[in-house]
Amino acid sequence: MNTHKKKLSITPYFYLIPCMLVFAVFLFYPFFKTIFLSLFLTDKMGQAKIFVGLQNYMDLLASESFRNSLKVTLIFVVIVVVGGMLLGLIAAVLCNKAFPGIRFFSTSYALPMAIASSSAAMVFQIMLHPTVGIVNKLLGLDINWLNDPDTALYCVAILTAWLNSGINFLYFSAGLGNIDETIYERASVDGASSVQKFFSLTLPGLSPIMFYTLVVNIIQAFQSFGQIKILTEGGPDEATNVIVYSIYRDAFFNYRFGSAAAQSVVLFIIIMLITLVMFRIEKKGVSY
Amino acid sequence: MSEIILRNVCKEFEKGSFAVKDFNLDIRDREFIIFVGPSGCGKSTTLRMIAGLEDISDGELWIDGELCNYYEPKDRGLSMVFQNYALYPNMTVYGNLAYALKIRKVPKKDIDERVHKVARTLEIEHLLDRKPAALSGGQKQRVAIGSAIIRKPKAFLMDEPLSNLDAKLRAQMRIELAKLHKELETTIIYVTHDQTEAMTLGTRIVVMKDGIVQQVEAPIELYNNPANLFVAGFIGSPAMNFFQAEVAEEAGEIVVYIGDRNSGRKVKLNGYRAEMAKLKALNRKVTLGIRPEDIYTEEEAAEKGFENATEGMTEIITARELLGAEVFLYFDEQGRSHTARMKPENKTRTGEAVRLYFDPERIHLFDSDTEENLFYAEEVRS
Repeated sequence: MNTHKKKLSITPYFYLIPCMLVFAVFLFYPFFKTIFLSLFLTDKMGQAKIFVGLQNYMDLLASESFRNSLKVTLIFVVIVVVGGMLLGLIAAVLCNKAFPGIRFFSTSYALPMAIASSSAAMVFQIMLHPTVGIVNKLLGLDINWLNDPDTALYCVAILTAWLNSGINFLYFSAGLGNIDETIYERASVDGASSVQKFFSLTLPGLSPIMFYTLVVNIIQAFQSFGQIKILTEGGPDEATNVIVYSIYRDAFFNYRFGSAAAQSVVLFIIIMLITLVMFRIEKKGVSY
Repeated sequence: MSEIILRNVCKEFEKGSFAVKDFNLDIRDREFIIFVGPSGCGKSTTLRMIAGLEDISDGELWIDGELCNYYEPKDRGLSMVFQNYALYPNMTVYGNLAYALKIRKVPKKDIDERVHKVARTLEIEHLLDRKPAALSGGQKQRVAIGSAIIRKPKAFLMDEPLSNLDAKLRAQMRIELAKLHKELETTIIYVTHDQTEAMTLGTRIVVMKDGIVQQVEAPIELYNNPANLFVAGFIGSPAMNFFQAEVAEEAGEIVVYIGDRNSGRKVKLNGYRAEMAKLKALNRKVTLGIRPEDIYTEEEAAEKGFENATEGMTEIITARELLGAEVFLYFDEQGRSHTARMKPENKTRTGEAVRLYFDPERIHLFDSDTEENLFYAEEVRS
């Protein structure tokens, strides 16, 4: 009996081995290797050479460029998350009613999800072109959108928000589908207007999915890379140099793998802290 | 005062297919009106049209002298209780009760007062801080009713409010609803497919089938005087027994043969019944209807004095159910199963043959083509 029990308790772990192996190779090893690298100066091949302790981190905190990166990242994340979620939410609420042509609209709103960030960036590049771009043509303006430090970050952020809105639309549509239709009918008889219904029933009804979407969106926004690489390459004048791009530049242009690793660790800590805080808040704010 | 009038109200979902057709009804103040019928008969659709949740395809809806066809639900001054309660899941019981008042910008103090008063009436005061997910079915039901009555509406619309409760709770809530109707002195329109609810609660019952009103009547009238075959079969449990029959004149008397003339089993009709049968169905096939409680044994028939008016039929009992206060005897005739409701002292066992007699004053005859009750007329009712 006793041996049988013991056998039972070990067997499940064997089933975990394949998945743990994959995790170990692609996640745990790089993760710990990054922490390890962040404590060293490296050669051009990325091999740890000289142990410097926390020096890489100290340098980062002292660096004007890194502080700028943090600021740029923060603005970028706020625009992307707020913009992407609002776009998705509005589209989902609009498409929550049956009307002729609903399929066309649903598909259009979900479409950004299927577009690769790099190809969308290419299209935006042409649209925002100072001389032949349609944006300047339509608005009758003459702005070099992507090369002006005042506008470049907003352009990249809005593009990213739009890209993320597709999946948000999908999440919110699913969330709206879960809200019982009859509570709206009761609210109609009770005397609520559409706006009152939205704020007192729809938003609270969406809060569980809203929380999940928010977490995913924040993490996603912190990790945006492709569109920045293609559109602005961190420029002009570091105006779009978000942390992920700064890591890429430090590692693959400046060959400072130690510093890049330290930045990665800082980014990891930031994302982890935000996620932890949000899960704390969730317990209070989300109504089911 | 709240008077609701429906004039030729129709609901057409697709061209030519009517969910409700030519619905006419005058609902008087403080009436407890029941819409009853099988599923898909249009009773809920009618209620939703009154509430404003469905468009009225044709006809007129008047509430307190105002034509309300195009009024928004919130402007009709009605409140509704839904089958699944429709509680707002993100609000507490207090919030659910207060919602309609909050929207109308009633002062907080008044809201608080009214919420507590309603909660006290419905005995849910201890639940005010709970969310709907933490309530039992019966408690949710009370909250739903509370949310409806807090507003003092012109009328209550209730869409099968008790159908999700278990039998015991349903019986209890039924009694409370009847009490509530007395206390509130308001019109209630109540949809159900449960005829016990219909019979016990309603001041008048509207029986519907396939979107068409079959009969509007007080419960007991409906039971004793069904307008047609459908109403007769729908109201009453166990249901009325139906037999193929034929009306004939014999030696100056009108008789109804069960089966055909050769069956030898007949019921003699008297007075008004004889006249109507002769006038409308002499020598024609009809459907004879008799309620289970109007079938008697030989001794009982002799006691009641109608053993000469009807020739009993010998039947083999296929099943016997003793329910305590009564016993049901089942027998097959004309390829269908029929029920007789007997006194509990009846000792007939399954497989035994027994002679059964129909009370001639309680039989109904229905036209084989139109299914109308041949005896249904104003004179009989008054």
